Amino acid sequence: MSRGIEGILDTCLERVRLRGESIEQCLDSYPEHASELEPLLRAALRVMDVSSIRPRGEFGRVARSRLLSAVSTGNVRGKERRFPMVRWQRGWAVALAVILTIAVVGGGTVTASSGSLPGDVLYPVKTTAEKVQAFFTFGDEANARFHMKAAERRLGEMESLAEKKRAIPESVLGRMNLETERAIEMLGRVERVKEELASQVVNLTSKQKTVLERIQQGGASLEFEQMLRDALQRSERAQTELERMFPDLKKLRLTPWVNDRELEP
Amino acid sequence: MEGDENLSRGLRKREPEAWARLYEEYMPRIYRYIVLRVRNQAEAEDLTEQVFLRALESGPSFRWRGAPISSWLFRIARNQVIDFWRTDKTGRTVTLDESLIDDIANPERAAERNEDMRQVIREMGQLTQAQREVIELRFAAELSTAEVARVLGKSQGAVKVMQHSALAALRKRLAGWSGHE
Repeated sequence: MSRGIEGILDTCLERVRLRGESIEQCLDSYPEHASELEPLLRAALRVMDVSSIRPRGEFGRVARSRLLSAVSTGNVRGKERRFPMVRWQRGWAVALAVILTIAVVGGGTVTASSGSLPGDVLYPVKTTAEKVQAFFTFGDEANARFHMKAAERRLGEMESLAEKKRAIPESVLGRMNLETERAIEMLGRVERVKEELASQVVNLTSKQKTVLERIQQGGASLEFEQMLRDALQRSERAQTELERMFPDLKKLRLTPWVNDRELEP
Repeated sequence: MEGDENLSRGLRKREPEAWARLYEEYMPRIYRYIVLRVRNQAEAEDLTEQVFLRALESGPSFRWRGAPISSWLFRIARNQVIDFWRTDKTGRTVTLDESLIDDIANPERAAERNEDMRQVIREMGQLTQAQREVIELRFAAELSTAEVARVLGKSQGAVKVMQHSALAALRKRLAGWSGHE
């Protein structure tokens, strides 16, 4: 029965998409499944709207001409990427820029930036310093620790912003999730994960849940509410992934939460 | 299928008409698939172009064995995207900021549709990786279930199951969103 509805749904989608039939026409063909099919088809119609995304006309023309030129000349590798500086070079460029900045404004500014929050003048200094630190962090375990601490910092920043009744930018939420996911990815590469490290990451995801729920309860705009829900779900998925990676998770001794300032390098 | 066989012959011989046809037919769909995956217009344009250049590189060795050309091309696109994320160290946020559709005659309507589409894309981001990929290939790349199955190396039945569960999950999320408005 379950397989049946999946096949019928697929048939209906093709009839709507390719033959231009209406949802009602398709439902008439399957009256016994109509109540289940209708909401799925309506959701599909909304998703189908992504097919109206079009590339820029100028890009289409230039890329076509470059492709046909490569076909004629056989020079396939002639096209340079728009950003010819490869990623590791970009990393070096950032590192160099920060070192120069530190030389000009002084290391004190970087230290002073460590307590800054999104929206503060010194916040870009803090995030750039982190990028440099990331660049000079080698090894999977060290990277896992680095990303975990970065995720903790973003969480701490969100807590501070919420306490001060300041807006929490979406980018900070996204960054916290991203850093957590990267920490887990790096942990996955470490052959023997230390118990203390695993428990810290576990602590991090449960702390994220607590803080995000607290912020949610504090009231937020509908759109931000949605973002919080998304962030919470990503955190929960990260937790599930950790449980999969460390089935003995519950046996791990959970370390107490360490606040943002204690984690500063 | 016969069209694919003729086209593949032209591609192998590097006939400009065949490559122009391939480009016209697939470029917008490849771009759509990629832009949804990398969420950045400039990177999507770069990667789309690379897909065709990669196809051209492997063109002489391409032998038509009954599989649609779309599967071959979208497998290249998928690998490009996987490589992109694998080498990306910039920690970019995945927010699609650019305007997705332009309607000079009716900018207000275009703004509404852009917002609606952005919401759909955001909700798609909450699906599992496998569900999301099926939805992107089915609705953005406009591939048939059989073609999606070939790109992903899965059975058609498995694709239909994932499509069903993805749409069921999206339905709930999109309904929840409409309720807030």
